[in-house]
Amino acid sequence: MKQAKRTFFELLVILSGLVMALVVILLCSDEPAAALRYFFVGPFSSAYFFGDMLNTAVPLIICGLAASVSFTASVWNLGLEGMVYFGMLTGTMAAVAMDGWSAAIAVPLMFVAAFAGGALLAGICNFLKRRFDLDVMMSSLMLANVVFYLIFMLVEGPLRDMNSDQGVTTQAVPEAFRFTNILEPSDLNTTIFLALALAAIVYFALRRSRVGYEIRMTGLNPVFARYGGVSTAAVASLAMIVSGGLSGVGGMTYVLTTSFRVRNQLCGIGWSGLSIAMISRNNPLLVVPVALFFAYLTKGAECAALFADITPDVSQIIQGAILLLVTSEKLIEFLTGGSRVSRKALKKEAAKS
Amino acid sequence: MNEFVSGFLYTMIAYGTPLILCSLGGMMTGLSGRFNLGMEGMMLFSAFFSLYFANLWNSLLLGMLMGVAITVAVGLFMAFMSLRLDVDIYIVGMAINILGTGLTTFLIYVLTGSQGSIIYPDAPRLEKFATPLIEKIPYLNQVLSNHTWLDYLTIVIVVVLYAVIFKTAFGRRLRAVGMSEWVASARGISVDGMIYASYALCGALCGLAGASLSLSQGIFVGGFIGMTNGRGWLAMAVVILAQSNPYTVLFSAWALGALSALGDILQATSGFPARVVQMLPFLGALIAASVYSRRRMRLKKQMFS
Repeated sequence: MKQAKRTFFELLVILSGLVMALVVILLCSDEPAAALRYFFVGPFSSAYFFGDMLNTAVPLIICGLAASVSFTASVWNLGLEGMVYFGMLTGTMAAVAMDGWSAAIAVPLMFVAAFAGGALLAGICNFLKRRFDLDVMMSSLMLANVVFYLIFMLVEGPLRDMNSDQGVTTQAVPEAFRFTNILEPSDLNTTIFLALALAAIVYFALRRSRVGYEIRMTGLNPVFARYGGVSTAAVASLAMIVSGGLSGVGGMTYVLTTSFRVRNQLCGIGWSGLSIAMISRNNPLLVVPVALFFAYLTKGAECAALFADITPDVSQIIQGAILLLVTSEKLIEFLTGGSRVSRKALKKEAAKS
Repeated sequence: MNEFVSGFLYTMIAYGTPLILCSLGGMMTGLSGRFNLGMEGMMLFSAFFSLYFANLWNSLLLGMLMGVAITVAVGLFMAFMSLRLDVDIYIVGMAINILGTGLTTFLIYVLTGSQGSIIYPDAPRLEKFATPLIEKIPYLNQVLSNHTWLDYLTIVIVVVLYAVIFKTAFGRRLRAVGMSEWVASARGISVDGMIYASYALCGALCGLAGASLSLSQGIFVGGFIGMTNGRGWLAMAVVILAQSNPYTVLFSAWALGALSALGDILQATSGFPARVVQMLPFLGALIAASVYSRRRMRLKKQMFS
């Protein structure tokens, strides 16, 4: 019961983001009525925009899952963006190399390559942690920045497709390996089922399996986990590898839901994945609605930018504000009317003892 | 050859300034025990606001003051979120980074109408000037003269911060809070006050760093890899390497600046790829931090065996 109440208020806080959007638009738009309408109703106004919104959510869901796996083990994998980007490249390059193969073999291999790309970076972080005792947060961030420039260099140099009409990109994933569109005229394709399936798998793996239990114990209380016979170092490494691999898969779906090519630009879905995992408190099932809400905000802002005078960055501001509000223990406690102990009372108590 | 060396050292010092300033900020928050992950966002805030207000009021100093004031407010806000609303300090940092990229590009559009970046060719700039005394000394003038006054101020800040951290009561209290909040509060130190102070200082230093980036060129670029170019992340590595000593911050930041300077010279002379030059400081930071952590691990083992 208490949990339900909590979740209700958390949802309320998340939805307060819409009120923020309202205020921001009213404050700075010259044609607020049109801007508001496009922002709030835009993503639902046609099959095209609706499909586009779901499409945007696909990589966000998978990146949110990737982040929540590592956060569950208390591993701060902040270099998710680098792993997303590297998996994107290895997956796409594998697909290009396998051109002409049967799709039944090539498509799984393409995802394996993407997973391996992300997992490789995570493995490097694990290696640095084991051998050099370097904090994973630090190594993953530095590695991500190295990888950005490495990939920019590759995409602009040896891997560049000179015949591309879409700016500086690599070659495209062959037609045969692309997923079928399910909501014409939008680009929505069957990768959304992959994302939902992954959410279910990650949920059951974390909550209902032995490894999942060990991961959660390691995250909650590593000392207790170690006394219980869990090899915490190995479990943390595993969580990191899975997190990196999933980010790679997320990057691959980003390629498959957008232009089928890797560009020399960052897409930011890794950072969004981190926020989504934090907002959904690492619950893989909550990742799906939160990612959908992020996609709604992004697409709403884009829609309003297209037809009215708002920049798409409005969504980012709201996402940041929601992240701050919803992770505030005090705020949620205050709203649910839980333990309302004032700081003064706490100090008095401390002074007595 | 001589010119090569002096040019290299000169670029190293010029590149180092923003990194030194924001690493010092990160170090202050690290001393209080709550490391600030939001330096990237803070620098973006100040880079934008200082340039905007400097152009608006046509005054370099007022613009910088405005940028610094805003980042100090951001720092206090971060401490408030962490202390009073109980948000994890890392999450606060992440949120500030998101808000930094989002709000600046948004404000650019609202205030100036352009997308993603602003260029003010007529805005007052941080000018380089020939330093009166040093200019006369042969050899040294090629390295130490002709910097902006912020570059010199940075060195002064390093010296002052060293004194503040290790020679004053405030510094001792700050370090005590970082070591153990319980013990510090039992000794009558205001833990919250110290954390607020460290975040305000971090805001001021990141504010100067951001202002030095945008005001030296009169341009601002927003976005994920924008004006700051990952300096906020590099600062993390510098803080790990430097372990709460402003002088080691100075030399670690210069060492990473040296990598950039070396890459720049190689690029100009032998067609070294530009992307590798941008990558070098991060690679260097990764390797240096690994080696450093390894040494610390060995020390720990020796201590406990």
